[in-house]
Amino acid sequence: MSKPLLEIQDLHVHFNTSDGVVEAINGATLSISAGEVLGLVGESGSGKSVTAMSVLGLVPQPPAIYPAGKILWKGTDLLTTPDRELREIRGGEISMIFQDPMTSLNPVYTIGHQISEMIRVHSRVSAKQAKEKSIEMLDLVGVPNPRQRFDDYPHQFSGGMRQRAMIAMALSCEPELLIADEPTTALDVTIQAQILEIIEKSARELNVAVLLITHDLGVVAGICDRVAVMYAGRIVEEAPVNDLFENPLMPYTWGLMRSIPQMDSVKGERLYTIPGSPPVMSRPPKGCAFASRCEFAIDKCKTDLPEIRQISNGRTVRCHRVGEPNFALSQKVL
Amino acid sequence: MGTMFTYTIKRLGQMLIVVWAAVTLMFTLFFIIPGDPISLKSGEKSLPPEILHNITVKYGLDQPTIVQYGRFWSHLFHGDLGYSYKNEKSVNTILHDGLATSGRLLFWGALFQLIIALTVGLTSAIKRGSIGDKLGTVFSVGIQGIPVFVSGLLAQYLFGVLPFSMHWDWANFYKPWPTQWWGVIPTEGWKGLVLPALVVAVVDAAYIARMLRSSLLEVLRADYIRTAFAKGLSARRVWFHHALRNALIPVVTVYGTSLIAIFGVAVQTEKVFSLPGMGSTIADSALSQDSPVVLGLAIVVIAFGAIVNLIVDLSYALIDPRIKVDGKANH
Repeated sequence: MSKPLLEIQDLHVHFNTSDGVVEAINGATLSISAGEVLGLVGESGSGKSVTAMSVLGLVPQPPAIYPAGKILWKGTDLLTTPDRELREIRGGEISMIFQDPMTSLNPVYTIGHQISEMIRVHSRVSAKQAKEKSIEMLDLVGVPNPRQRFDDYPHQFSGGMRQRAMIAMALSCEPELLIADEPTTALDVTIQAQILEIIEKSARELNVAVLLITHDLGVVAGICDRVAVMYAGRIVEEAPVNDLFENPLMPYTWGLMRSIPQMDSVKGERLYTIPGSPPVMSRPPKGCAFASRCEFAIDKCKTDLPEIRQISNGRTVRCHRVGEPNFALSQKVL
Repeated sequence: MGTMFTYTIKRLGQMLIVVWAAVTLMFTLFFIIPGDPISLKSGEKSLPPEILHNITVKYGLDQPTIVQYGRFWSHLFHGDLGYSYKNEKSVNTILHDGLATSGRLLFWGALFQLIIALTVGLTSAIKRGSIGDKLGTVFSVGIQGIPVFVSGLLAQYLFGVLPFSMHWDWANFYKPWPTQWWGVIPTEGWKGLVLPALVVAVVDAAYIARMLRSSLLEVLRADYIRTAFAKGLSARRVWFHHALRNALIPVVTVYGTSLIAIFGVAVQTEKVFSLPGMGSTIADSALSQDSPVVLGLAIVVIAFGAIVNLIVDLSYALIDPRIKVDGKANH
């Protein structure tokens, strides 16, 4: 595997709030190689978005603080990069699309203006060239009549079209990494598949690596090469997408898989749910954060934080019990 | 822009109706309220009834109300607002002279107001929680509660009396002071205008600044601001290009109302600073039931108010493309 583009090493992000310090990210480690599509899954509040926003330095400080960790982009730590240089990376090398396309575009400027603006910030081109490039990008993501729609305002676009425009904008400066933070969550189910296809197609076409943040395992299965599962501010399992679905190692991942309705499940049978709820991050547990909800937890899980261990090529897991001689998750899924 | 033009024409037509209605109402009021301008004019002395009658005839006050009303309008259409009952000066002259002073006071007051409001509002929103923000809050909350006759006198003392008593002639630190700047801006008389204009400005500037601050703070939390930062734009570009325009709608509304209300503030300020503007005229005329002067001034104020409102409404559409001036929804 080639040298990673982005390496997040032992990232810690804490928030100072009126209720005390919330430890949102507690040692997240993650890497993405050029051209790879990596899915980052986890439930709400697990720290997916904060991790992604930290890459671009978009988490306001205060209240956020970064007590430890590094975010290496081609070897330079983005957390210590001065704002001036970070601005060139934002949008130029790493760009981002967000969850809600209805509110992510500025309502008082035309779609075309907003795309051209980004192009002109990152490359020395004339307004006319920027316009041509924007129209080309709108065409690439499948906006019909891009030349006419260039002068439309966001409110004249539907939700799906706005997300297309966001993707066009994000890809307009030929970035090397696209961070998509739940890009389909706010969209119609019928539009979701289209948007995912556009992201995948354009990313592969332009050789852009994608960090796809989602809580939808179906989305992950559809387009990702590799998956990282996040729980309570840590990556608990990382694996190639097929391996993860065929053979989840970490009990949390296994629980997630079992919570998906299956085509062949017995009618009337109740769907599995993971018992309990995620820990409160202002008082994180000492050991494994999942221990209190885990069917397989032993005493050690509640006191000692498991380290990340490599199980096989490309598979890592943060669990004490995985690899124990007689340990097996009780049921295979998918 | 075609719709905007027809809309403007329509609104100007409505403005004429408003002026007509307001003038008619005031005209009627002058006849309903007790007392008459002629006996008020004669003051304490009791004039012989023959003289009073002559004066009444001279101003046409012996005619039926409806005739007087008709004559008022026919004169108005010829651009003649009549004559003051009090000093027999033409109302046109009184307005012309008064507006020259008041207009300058209002213009500079409104301009200072805008500059102060934008500066204070922007700084306190962007540097939220900083010393500047806190000072801005203290300034805004403090100044709003101070009436003009206090702030005016205070300003006069601080800038007009105190420095000179300390032998610091700050207004003439540069000699010789040019009579014009860059050959165009007259400097004559600015010294007399800058303080009252500031006094006029600060009252509502504080309010507008608070409005801008809260409006900007809300906009700065918006998703599209995050998008703008993610695009790699500079903070300044995000604030001034992406945030400010979105935060302007409520501010423009308040600024428009304040421009109209500034007339009232100017009346007090002109009194405090002894400026020969419309302020003292309007107060005196109302008290002596000098209806031609009051009506003339009313027409000016009402027309001004209507035009400001029109500009405010038009500017909504310019600021936010989702707003259509004629009220018809998009699509």
